[in-house]
Amino acid sequence: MWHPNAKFPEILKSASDMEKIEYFKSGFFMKHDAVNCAYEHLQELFFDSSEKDVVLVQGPTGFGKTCLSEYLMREAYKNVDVMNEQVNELPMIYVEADVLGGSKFSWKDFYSELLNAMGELQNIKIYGHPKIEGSNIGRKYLSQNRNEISLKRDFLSRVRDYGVKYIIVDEVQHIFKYGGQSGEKNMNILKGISNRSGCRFVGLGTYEISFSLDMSDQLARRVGIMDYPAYSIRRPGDVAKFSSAYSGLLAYMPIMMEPSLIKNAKAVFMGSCGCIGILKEWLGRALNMALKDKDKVLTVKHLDKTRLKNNQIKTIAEAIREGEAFFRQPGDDEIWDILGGKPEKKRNNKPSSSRGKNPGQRSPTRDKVG
Amino acid sequence: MRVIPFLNHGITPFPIRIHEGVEAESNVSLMARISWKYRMHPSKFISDVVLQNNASHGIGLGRDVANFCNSLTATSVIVTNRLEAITGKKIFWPSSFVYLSNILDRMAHGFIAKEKKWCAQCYRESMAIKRPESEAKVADELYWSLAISQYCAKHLCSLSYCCGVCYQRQPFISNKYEPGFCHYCGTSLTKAPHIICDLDGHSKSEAESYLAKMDIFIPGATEISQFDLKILSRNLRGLVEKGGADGLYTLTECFGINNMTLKDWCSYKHGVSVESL
Repeated sequence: MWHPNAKFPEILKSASDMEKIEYFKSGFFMKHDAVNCAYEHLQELFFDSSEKDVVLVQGPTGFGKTCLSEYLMREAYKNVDVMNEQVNELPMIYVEADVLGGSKFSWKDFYSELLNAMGELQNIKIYGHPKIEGSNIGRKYLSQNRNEISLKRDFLSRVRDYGVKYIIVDEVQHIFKYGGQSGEKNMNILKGISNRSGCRFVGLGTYEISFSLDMSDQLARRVGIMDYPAYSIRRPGDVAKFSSAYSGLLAYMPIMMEPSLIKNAKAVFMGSCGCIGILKEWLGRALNMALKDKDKVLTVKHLDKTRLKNNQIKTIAEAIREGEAFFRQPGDDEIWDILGGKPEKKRNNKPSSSRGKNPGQRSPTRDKVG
Repeated sequence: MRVIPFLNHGITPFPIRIHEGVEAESNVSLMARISWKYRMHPSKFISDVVLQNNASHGIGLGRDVANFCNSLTATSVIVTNRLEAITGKKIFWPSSFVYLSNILDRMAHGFIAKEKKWCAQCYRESMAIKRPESEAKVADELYWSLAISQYCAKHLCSLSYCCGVCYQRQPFISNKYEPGFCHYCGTSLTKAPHIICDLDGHSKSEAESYLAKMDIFIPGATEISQFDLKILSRNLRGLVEKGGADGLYTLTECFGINNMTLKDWCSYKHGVSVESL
């Protein structure tokens, strides 16, 4: 049977396999409950207040970063006047922080990515900034390529041209993952860019952000950190929300499916660790397999065959647990204790019964008697 | 053209401001300003991005570029449309002489000047305006690129055609220095030699009468939509008929053209060449 609330275009029923796969991969946008929650939280923490220049949204891998990015972009552009499907104003841009070989994060490449996101053409060479040679002499075209400073100047200039207000940086953990103090240094650079350009950053990444970023109190005040967890069995109502999102995704699959598939939510929850991104990829693989095998109906068998290996699922589950533990909020009593609200326990100077001896003094119980 | 991720709207790659103080900026001037602002080699920018013909050596920045882009050919229309697309701005002023394509002879030669001409006083005023550092300081009026243009309609002074220091004639776009500076020595073109008409009453009236003769080329001087060879032919035929047997002879005397040319105009055979005006 077709999904009772199928949402894909009718024409896809007779489309080629490639078109069906492509559609399920990138042809629709489905907003689920976790995205709504994250958006509302972001709105409150970041968009409605000017206190923070940067907000970092963290969650497990495949938790739906792309979906959240797409939702943010759609919201930002809903009021932009699109003349001939061409845009002169870019209230929000989206970039992915790339990881390259080398011992430190390449800001030069990052500026290039930002300029690309603002429509800079790739097929024509752009030269460095000209130097002023004298008060009455014109500036000369340089034949040198742009360096990091030049790229940064171009970025700042384009930000003004296009009126960019927000920059979404996907995979933001790549900026901070370099060891030592460079995580905090890079965070400072990002904050500096925000100050100079007037743009505010929304960084989306995995829990690696918090593991590799040790922020100073000054930074902590200017940078917001937001948890965007996967659906959890422990949280009441999450399984039902996940089931609803799962059913929603099935509605976009341009293939007939057996009815038991829709009721399979619990097993699917485990196979995807409650992450919608992982689930969507999984369903994509299942669809691919069904179409490749010329099966007309998507079955539980297809899902089972394309499920991640158990050790992979375990790794993701552990990362989720670690991340959630990192974000566990301390209780009021714990903070009160740290502030000195409760007298510290006096150290007992008396030697305990087990450690009351001087080094070298033998315990009589260790020696055989008789 | 790059698109916005998730939304598929194209992004205007070269947004640029309208240059304050210029009535009708030519296509060539706009391209020079874009090349400078985005620091691209002008020749490559024109061939690869504007004309999209990816010529290996780009396009000549002397007379070639003005003939292609400022005249009344089909290429000028393509260039204007393309500039609108890449800057995201509607060009509402005449940026080429395409608006005269219904009356002027497309095959006529000598319409566009061989070298750049400019008004040193307009340049001086333009350079005095504070603009973002990356932007060009000057822009050129379309009518300056005409071969017959001699005076600035705003200042009534003569247009300059060479640098005031090295006396070199200038290409329409420099690929060495920013717009407004000599292609050869880098000196400001505000220092170029020109005759200031305010000092000499005779020159002023001469400039005014010259400009009045060529008002169809100057923006705002006449209504653009009225230029049509069909209307001109009809009116000329009417005048010839009114003149009786000597009508044709009288008109040729008046216009200073020969019989054949007037007959061609009356029969709507070809357009008017600029020299005949």
